[in-house]
Amino acid sequence: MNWHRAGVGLGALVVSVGLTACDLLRVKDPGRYEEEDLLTALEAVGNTAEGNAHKWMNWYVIWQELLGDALNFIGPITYNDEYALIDDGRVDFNTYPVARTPANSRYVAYNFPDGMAESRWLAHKAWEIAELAYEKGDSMEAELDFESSFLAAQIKLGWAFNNMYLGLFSCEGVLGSPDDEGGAEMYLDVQIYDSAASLFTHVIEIMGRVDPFLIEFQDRDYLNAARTGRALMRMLAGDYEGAVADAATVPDGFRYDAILGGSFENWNQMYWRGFQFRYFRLHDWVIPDTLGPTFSGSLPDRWTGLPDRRRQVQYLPKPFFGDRPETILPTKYGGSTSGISMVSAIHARLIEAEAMAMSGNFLGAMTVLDAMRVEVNLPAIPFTPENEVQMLDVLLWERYAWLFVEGWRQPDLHRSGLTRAVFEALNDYDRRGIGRPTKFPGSAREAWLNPLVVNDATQRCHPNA
Amino acid sequence: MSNRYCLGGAAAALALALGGLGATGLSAQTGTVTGEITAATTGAPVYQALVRVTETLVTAVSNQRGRYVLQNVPVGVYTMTVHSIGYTPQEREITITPGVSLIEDFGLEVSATELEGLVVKGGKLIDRKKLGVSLPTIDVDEMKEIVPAQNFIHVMEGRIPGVKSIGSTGGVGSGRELRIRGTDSFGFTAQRPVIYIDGVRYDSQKEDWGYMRGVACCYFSGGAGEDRLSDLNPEEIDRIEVLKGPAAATLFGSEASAGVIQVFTKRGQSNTPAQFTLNTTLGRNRLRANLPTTLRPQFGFFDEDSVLVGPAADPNQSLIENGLINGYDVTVSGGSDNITYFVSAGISYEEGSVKPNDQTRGSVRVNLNWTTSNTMSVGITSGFVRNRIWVVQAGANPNGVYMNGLYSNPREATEEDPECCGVQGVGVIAAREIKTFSDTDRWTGRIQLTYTPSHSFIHQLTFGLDDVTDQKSRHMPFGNYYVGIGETGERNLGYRVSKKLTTDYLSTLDYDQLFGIGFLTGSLSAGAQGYWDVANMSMGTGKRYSAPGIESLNGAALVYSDEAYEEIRNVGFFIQNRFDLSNDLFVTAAVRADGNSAFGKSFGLQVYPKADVAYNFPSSVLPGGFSNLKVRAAIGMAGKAPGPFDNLQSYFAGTVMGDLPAVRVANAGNELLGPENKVELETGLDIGLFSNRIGLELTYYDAEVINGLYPSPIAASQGAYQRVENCCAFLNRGVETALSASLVDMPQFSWSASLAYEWNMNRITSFGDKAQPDSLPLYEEDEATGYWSHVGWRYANSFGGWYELQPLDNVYGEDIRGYFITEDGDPVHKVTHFPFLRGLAQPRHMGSIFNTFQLGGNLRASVQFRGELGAVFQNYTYRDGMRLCQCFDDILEWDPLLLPEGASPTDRVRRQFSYDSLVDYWYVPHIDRRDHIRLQDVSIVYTVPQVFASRMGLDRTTVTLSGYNLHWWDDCRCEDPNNKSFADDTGERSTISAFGVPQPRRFLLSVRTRF
Repeated sequence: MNWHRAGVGLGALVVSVGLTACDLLRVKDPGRYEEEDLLTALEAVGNTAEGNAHKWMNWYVIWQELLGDALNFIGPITYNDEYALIDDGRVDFNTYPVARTPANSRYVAYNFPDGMAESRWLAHKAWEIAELAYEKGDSMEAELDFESSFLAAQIKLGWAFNNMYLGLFSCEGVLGSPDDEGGAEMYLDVQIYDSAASLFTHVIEIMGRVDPFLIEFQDRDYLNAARTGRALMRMLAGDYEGAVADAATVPDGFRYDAILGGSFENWNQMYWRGFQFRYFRLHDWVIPDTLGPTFSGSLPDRWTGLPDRRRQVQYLPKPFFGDRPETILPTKYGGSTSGISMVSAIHARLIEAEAMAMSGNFLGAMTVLDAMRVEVNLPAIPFTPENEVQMLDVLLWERYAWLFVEGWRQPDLHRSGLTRAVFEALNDYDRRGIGRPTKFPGSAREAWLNPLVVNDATQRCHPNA
Repeated sequence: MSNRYCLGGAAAALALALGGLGATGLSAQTGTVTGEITAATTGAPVYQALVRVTETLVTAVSNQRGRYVLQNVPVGVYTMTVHSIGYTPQEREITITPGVSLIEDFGLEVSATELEGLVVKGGKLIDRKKLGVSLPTIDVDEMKEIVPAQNFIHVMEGRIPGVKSIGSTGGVGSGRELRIRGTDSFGFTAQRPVIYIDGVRYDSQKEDWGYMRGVACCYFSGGAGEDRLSDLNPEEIDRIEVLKGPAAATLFGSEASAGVIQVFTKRGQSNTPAQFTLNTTLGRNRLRANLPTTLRPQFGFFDEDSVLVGPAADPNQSLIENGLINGYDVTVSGGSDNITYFVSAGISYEEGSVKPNDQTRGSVRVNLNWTTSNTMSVGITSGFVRNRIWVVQAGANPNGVYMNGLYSNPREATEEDPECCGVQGVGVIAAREIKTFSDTDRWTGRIQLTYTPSHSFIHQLTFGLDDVTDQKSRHMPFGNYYVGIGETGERNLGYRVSKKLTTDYLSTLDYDQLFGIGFLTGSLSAGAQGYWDVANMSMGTGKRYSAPGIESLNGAALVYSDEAYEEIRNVGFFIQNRFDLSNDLFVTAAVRADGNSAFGKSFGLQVYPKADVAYNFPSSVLPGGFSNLKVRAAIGMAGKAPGPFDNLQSYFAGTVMGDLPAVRVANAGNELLGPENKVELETGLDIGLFSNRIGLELTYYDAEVINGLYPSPIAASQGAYQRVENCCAFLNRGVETALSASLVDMPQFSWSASLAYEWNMNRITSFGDKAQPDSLPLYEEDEATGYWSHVGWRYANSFGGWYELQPLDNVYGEDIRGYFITEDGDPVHKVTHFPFLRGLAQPRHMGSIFNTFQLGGNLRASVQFRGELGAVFQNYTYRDGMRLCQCFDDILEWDPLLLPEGASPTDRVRRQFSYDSLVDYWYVPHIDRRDHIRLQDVSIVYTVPQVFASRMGLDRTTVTLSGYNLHWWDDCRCEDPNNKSFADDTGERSTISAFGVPQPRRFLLSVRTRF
């Protein structure tokens, strides 16, 4: 053997190895998908965008109904409240005492604003992936224009609901990512409503392009969901005319529910009937009734005293801790897979009634509300409001009853400027309610870690204001 | 994939160019050199001295009688060198003429230092005086004559300053601690240095499995795990070289920031007849009876009349047993002109003192070297080991033997069931019925082609594979109660398959007065290295058996399975040049460039530079008494690659809206992710005094870790809650000293001693832009008004309790929380908002002293002490023991923060720590110090006189009596201050001692003979 030649050959081998190093250094985790894998998994991509909104709707209700209670009382009302981390400007939701997350488990917390930000990112990513898949022709429906597809409507609807709940929940939030062009500034809730309304509009436009033949086969009514959603956003932004225009197009009987079960059970039902009640005496702040010690069923209608099946509760005489005996648990949701209404014709009718009331048409508003009460076998409200205060009281109470445990009470009180009055009236021995006239503040975590957000609490909404 | 890695082609081309340089054949005419090597003082033959003709590859090793033979030495004039540990090297010029046999005898002077000598670098022997770094070497064969080490960790233990190698967890075969130069990374599990066996990357994983789906409580074996380094049979090892940090290990690139340990197995010698060795070992393990049972004031059981009748179920008597040790190794080595061989086979069995726990290891090794021509040789190493460990259930594990042993309540025992009533109702008997096995088949081997066109030019190509298949199984039988399982049993059966493929090419050219320029003398090296690591783990778990008798998964009512996978690839290229500017001054510069699959796709190559200088003062300028003085300095960078898939943005399958398919973010990924880089400056002095009878090595290192890796929190609007980033910086510095002396050297008595000491400290210097402001307000309740007011700010960093300018390895106490009972009987809620700094998890000072005595020609004795100072730990064993026994006097010594004012101490403590208390006692640490001095090794070696050995047909034969880990003096209320809960190094800041079985205490009788 000529070893000199062998040496040359050896060197050549090394050269070839060096040149192919480009591919050698590519590895893949067989247990994980990468983005290119998802180009052929558009069903999952679309479901992710829509389903995340359902998942967070589940948590949204908990936060609004359970933690909204806590937020309005500074101080330790719970076993886990040692940190008292209620900020002047923002909340570190991951260490927030009632978030049920240990202070050192900062990364897995199911806190709502951060969860919504993550969910928004996923919706955005889903849109990019689906758009790319259509461009590359990897989709089964590649011959179609992406923005004429159910998939586009599905993703955009999930995205829109994402923004809607963020605006309802918090007085501020981010709508982008530091990784996006345009950044991720902190927006106020009114701006977030605008954003959600735009997204709903986009859904309506897409559904207008979808082949009607295909719509017949869909069991998800994205069009009316978007119409109702946009109506709500317009109402919250003060555009009653626009809200009523949208609401009028929503047919009676329409419902779009968060579908729960599987990995995301109805935590409202689970928690309230489980152990969470030990920490929070739910809904004391909205239920002034005195009930018997064995009560279980419908709370009495405020106007007539008749059982109001819109508000199903159970009385629990022995709380876990503290010296207040009463605990009242909602039992609206019957099981762990019970859906939670996100938008429905009820919203549309309530919007119509509110719009009439705001324009001074009290009688018209009451007519709408009374007509709705027939559906739950309740007689008409036995009086007609004589002034705006009375009208607002009726409206908010009916909204509270219809949307019981759906997360609307707190934003309703907030937008009506009634938070402080309602809470201070409930002040008692160990619950020093002050009724913050605001919603949840933005995420301190986002402000710390998002380099595009000016972390200046004085520029943000203040719960203690 | 971008072309950024393709720069490798350039380096490869350089290698090719080097490969093309002149290949000249050597003369076929040869001669022979023979002779005898003796100690100058005593005249005793020197055994296993390395004899070498420097300019050739011809080497030999002296035999028992000190004789050697060098055959086939090409005709010419050469320098002949003789090296042997413990002696000053000698060299002389020889002239080889065809067919003539030279006789060259050597008388070696005793030396206490290794300041002169050879090390193997890149297949070549290099004088130590040319090295600008500290490069300690352990001659294992030599060491084992004095200390019959049973495992690799023991081989390393207390021998080299800067290398911490101790047993820390569990019993026989369990995880051990091995690290170099302290702590300087958030990735504690990556602090273990990389291990190479004959140039092949070696799987040294030591973690317990606790994360597989369905597996019940507390890790697979409670945290003890098993250590893959226990696969190594020390009998096969020739020597170990330690590259302590980046200054020395730069050329190992993206895996070398924690140091590199190179293990070289034994070889045969050419033209040597077959030489057999037989080593037999017999002994026992037995722990000290110092288990902390004083918390149980009375051990015994009560009869029907509630009379304490004893005797005891005291763990010091019932839990500690003798553990049998025996081992047999046989080797044969030798060689002809062209082929050398080393073949070994060994089997060992070691039983723990707390049972069930044992290790059975069988190993076979074949090392061959074939010189195919004057310019080409092929080396093959092949080692197979079967290592079966019955892992003790230990650690913070309510199903553990040791934990239940300590916490069994003897007051509730009966004569029939003296070990009942353990932790949460498990008991020792049930814990002992758990069968936990790690059964490993492992093959490690390589083929190495060496092409030497001239004596100054060498090419070496290595292909190596380390292939590990570890079957892990556990059975918790039906009928016994176990925490997390109940009484219906559980079976786990899993596999971990690890393959590490190493490819390495190295070319070295020594040049002398290049272009006729005097100072252009030196050595140029270039090479490439690739490795490919794959590890696949899977496990099935069966639950809810209906009756005893079934131990397989398919008999279970519920079966779970899980799988995990890791893969990492690396390609690196380097070039290095050493300038021999004179006979005393040597300057080396090098650079390595790495591409790694774990780097972000926009990151590109990582370049690691290094430089070192060594200056040996000429003897003419040395002051009286100085025989050597070398000054060295080195600076280098090495890296630590991120986790295998940390860089990838990835998703996993999920469901939404009931059971519709969806995806969730698994990892945020990081396109810019690079390695954690460590830049180390190392300076040192090597001093030899009085003809090298006293040697001192003094080294100072100052390292800065930049781009430290951490799973940093990110804004949720970026799609996830964290991603691995290069965020942080640390410093790590220390001093290492090694003092050795030949104190007495007389024909009938000699005494040599060595003292090693190290000091180390580290600090977090920066969190980068992830540092967070003190921005969270704290509120406290005003007792008078009942209202809460803002009283301060909580430092809300995102680094899980790490703080800038504090040590990385701080031990923190947790927040203390809970309801304290006031005098009025009302619960008052309190919490401490800051974790308390309790001290360091790693010792700041470590030292050892080793003495060897030679009495006459046949008796040697040695003793080694080592010690640590400055580390603390959370002594959960003691804490929980106090809580369970309600030992109030002891509890009063606890943190005074826990003690509210008022009431008598006993009442206060009773309220707080009784079972009914609302105090969350789990968050209350009890801190103890790890400071201790340990009598680590004692041995007496008797060398059978040759006259007797010869009658039995034997050559050198020794009988050794030894003890390991015999005693220690400490200041902790614990069984062993080195004890830890978990096999890995996670949780450094809250380092816990909780029921890890103490380390073995061995007593051995060994007989080694050659024939």
